[in-house]
Amino acid sequence: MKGNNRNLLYGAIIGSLILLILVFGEDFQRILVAISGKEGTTYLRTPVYVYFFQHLWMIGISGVASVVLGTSLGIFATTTHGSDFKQTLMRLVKLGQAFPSPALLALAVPVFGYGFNGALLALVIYALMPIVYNVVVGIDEVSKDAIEAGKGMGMSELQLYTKVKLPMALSVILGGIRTAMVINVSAATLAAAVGAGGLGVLIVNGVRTFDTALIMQGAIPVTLLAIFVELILKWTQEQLSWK
Amino acid sequence: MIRFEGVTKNYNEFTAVNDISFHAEKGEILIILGPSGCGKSTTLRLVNRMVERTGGNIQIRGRDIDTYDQVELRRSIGYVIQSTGLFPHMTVGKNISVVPNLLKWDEERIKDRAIEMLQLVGLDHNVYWNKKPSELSGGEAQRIGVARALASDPDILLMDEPFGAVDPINRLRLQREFMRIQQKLHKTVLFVTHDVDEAILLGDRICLMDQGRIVQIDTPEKIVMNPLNEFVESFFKGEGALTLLSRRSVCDAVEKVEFSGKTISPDASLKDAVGIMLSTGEERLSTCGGSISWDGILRMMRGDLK
Repeated sequence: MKGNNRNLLYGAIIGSLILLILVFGEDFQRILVAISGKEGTTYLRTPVYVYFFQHLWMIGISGVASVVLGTSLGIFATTTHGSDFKQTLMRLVKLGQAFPSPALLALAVPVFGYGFNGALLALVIYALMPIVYNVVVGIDEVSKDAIEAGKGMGMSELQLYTKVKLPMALSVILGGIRTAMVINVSAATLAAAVGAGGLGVLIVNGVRTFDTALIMQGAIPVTLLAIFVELILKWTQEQLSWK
Repeated sequence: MIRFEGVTKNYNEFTAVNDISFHAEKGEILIILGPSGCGKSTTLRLVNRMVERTGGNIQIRGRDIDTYDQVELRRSIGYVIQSTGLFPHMTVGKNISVVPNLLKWDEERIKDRAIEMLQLVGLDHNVYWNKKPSELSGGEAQRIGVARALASDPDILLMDEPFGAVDPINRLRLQREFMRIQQKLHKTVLFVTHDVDEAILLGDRICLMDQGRIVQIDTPEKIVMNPLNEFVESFFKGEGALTLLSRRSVCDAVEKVEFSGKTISPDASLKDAVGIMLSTGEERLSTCGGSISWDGILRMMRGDLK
């Protein structure tokens, strides 16, 4: 264990807050309605945790897919076989990060159809970019001396990756995954717009009916979830980093 | 042990190594010396195929290097580089165990061997085993680099300016320790340096290179006293002869003359002794069960240089 566990502590606090909201969903709703001071608001028939778990499921699946796909793509680009393809990939990734996520979502729908699959595809593509970028940069930044020494001592190409390049780049790679996941938590709210469910449903409906309480019922858990993911992944990154 | 026959390395238009031939005998330290860009590092890296030659033949242990599997070849040769190349994410213990691990030794043997190597380079394993390279001084890191290269007990050691990044005082200490280790282990060592003093101190023979070619290859005494041409002469200047004194222990020039004046440690070199004699004005120093004098030193060096 390393010295700084503050992120873990804060993560636990935020996590408990989320848990409270999920368990006491109706009270949470009542409080928000009272604060917004608007009479006659429509109460939710579906409990908030249903939307929350839809949300979690969406970022979980897209997260796993983008980590697997992104790291393999990034690693491939750094090998001698992938060197031709590296520059194109990096340009694409930089361009892609500047592309607005709602537009990407809108473009994914015609391909994969309305609903969960279309949203998932968009999220995977969006999360892919910071991951690929950091994998390539992380591996490229591994000191030439360490690589020279590893090669000179007789490591095979594969061993050079598993024993030197990947462990040394791990912190940077995890940084990319963290960025991707935090972005995805909020980007997944847009998935509601294409009928994929999640906490975004509350926000989209709230905006349509000018219902502040409804918007907050979606927005607050999403924000807390994003902070939670950030803190926990940051902590993990610190634990696994060699620096 | 290591034989080069007409070896050439071209990079497009540029010829880094130009038709060189030499033979490093078993158990000798062959120094490859020369100015920057003379091809000395390339020559070293040709041996473990970190660089592939474009012409000629290289044999090690009597076998063409192309008949070895590249990875196996490298695992059978110790490799020390100037920047140490220690893995920053591994502890000292893990760093030393890299090659034995690659060779799939069993764990107990690896650990015993790594501890033995730490002792060999004069570091206490209780203190250093779990340290990370970032917690080491330059001299300590370089010792670990040597320990790591020796861990699998290779018969050949390639050293590329291993002590180049260390301060002069620690460098001398490391050089002496390396001599002590070599007297014990008798490895065949190719040692690249641009430091004339280091070459004279450590080399059994010196191979002086310039512009990709071997200019002269000889013992330190011969290369200093009988330079083949002006380049060799200018490279060693006048100091070469003085540095030769560092190769000899005070005991080599000792005379059976009782002397009760100033003493010098029997571990000291003749160069140290001359330094003390010059700075204190002493004509004679007591050491090694007798004493040494100017005359004795001169007589011995003349004998050496014949």
